[in-house]
Amino acid sequence: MFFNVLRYDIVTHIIKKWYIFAICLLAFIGTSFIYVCSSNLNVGPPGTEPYSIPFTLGEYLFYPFAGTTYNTFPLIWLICNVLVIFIIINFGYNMQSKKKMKVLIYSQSRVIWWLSKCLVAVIYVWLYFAMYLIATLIFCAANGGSFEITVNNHTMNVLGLNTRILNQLPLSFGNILLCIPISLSALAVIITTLSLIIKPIFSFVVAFLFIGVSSFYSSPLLLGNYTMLVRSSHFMQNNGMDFNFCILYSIAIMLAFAALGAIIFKFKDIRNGG
Amino acid sequence: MKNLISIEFKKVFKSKVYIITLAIFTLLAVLIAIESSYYSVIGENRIKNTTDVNLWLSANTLFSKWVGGQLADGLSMIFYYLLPLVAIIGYSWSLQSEMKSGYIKNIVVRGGKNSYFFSKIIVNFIASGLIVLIPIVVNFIIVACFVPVRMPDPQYDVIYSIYSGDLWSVLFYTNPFVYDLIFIFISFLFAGLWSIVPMAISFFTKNKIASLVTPYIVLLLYSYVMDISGFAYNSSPFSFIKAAQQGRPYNEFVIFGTLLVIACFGIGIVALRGHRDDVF
Repeated sequence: MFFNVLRYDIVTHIIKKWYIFAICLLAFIGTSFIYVCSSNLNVGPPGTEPYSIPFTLGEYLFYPFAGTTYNTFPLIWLICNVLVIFIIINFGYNMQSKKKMKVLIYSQSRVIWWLSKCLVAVIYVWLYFAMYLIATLIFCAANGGSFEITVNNHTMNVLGLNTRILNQLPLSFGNILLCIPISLSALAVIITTLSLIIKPIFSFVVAFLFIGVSSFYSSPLLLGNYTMLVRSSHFMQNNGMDFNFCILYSIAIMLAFAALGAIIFKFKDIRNGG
Repeated sequence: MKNLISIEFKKVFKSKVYIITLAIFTLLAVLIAIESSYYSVIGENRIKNTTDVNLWLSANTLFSKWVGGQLADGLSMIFYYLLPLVAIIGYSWSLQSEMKSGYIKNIVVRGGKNSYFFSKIIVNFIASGLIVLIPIVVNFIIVACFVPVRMPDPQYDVIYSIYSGDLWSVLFYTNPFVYDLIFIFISFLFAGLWSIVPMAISFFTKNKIASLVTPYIVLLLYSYVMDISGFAYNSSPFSFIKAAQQGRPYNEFVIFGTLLVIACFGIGIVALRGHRDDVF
């Protein structure tokens, strides 16, 4: 029965909502384009020749999720995170509509229904991540870039990052890219659970606060830190976020909130929306 | 029209969402005030026990410690980034809810379409302005209770981030209360006008979350594009509603021009579609 519900959810919430992922694809092509533009705008005094070295795939991948080492809001990182939060909140809002709730009757178990929803939220995040990879690959290929997943000092200059506290550059970072979907998956399950308790728009505010606070406080307990590539131990010599801890912590959070959600949903008064 | 406005106001102040949003945002403002006052009091004690010649007295003043006067600090920055979101959560959803539930038909048949939409715009403007104004004023008052009101000294301009030649800098160093009041008023104006945008979006989508969150994402995107575009003035509403002028220089024409564009977009669409569309 679980797979029947899951199949229904995938068709209703993912396949029929293909345009969400098309928008994400365009958004990430846009970030790569912005990176190329800002490379020529922000580096060097007026009159400097445009950046002539071919861009690497790593630069395009690094730009939207680079984050910052300072206590500030990197806007592009914030937009990428807010976009995925919005997609999950929208899913949380839609899944509780009366029409969709009818599926619950056929699923015979509230736990099955809930677990299917958690899985769909996680699939949303991984598809979002896939769009990010596909968009940057397309842009890199179209722009004649090399397919190395490395960043250099130029990327750091464009992002306004201090390179002194970072490891030796250029640096390959392909392995730590997985931190992004893993930590965002945990955040997605938290948001979906919150949508059961509070209004979806308030869970958006909570998720925004969670992400916002992460950018100011470098704590391994705040999931937002793992979506900032520059804060990983791979880049930061001191106090960088550990990749292994990210995986363990995110999975623990996911399981804990999925279990909490299952308990809350078991006792939820669906008919009166309470 | 008067009756409709008073009914709308009653609905606002009885709305749980409005009260909860106001309470949470005020709590955040109070937390910022407590944090700021705490560090200010520590600073004052250090001044009392020191023998230094330069005491930096004017640096520790109400005008640099209230939420709008602080430099890019953790909580105060989150406060200003949340402000547009909070402004729209307050009451902007009401038009879409009433369209969905059919409540609008009952009102329009009694008071007329134009009266309904204009009362909605007016009440939404004031209610959303207040949801931002009250926490800022509470923060200002709490900080004023603990931090001395010293006149800002141009020697410490780096503390206030208001330099010679900046917008209304003369006013800041001669009459800082008026300067801060202007920025509080700009925050009120922005929140009020911004809250009308989701109302306009609700004519195009039936998805409540999309109509509330999409304008916010667009605002973030706009701020980012303007930030990297090399435009000479600060045109991001996240920044120009703050009294501490960080980043690019402020310009009164850019500030009020941005507000005018927001107003024209929001009020224009609500008035046009509200007048034209059939509610029945």
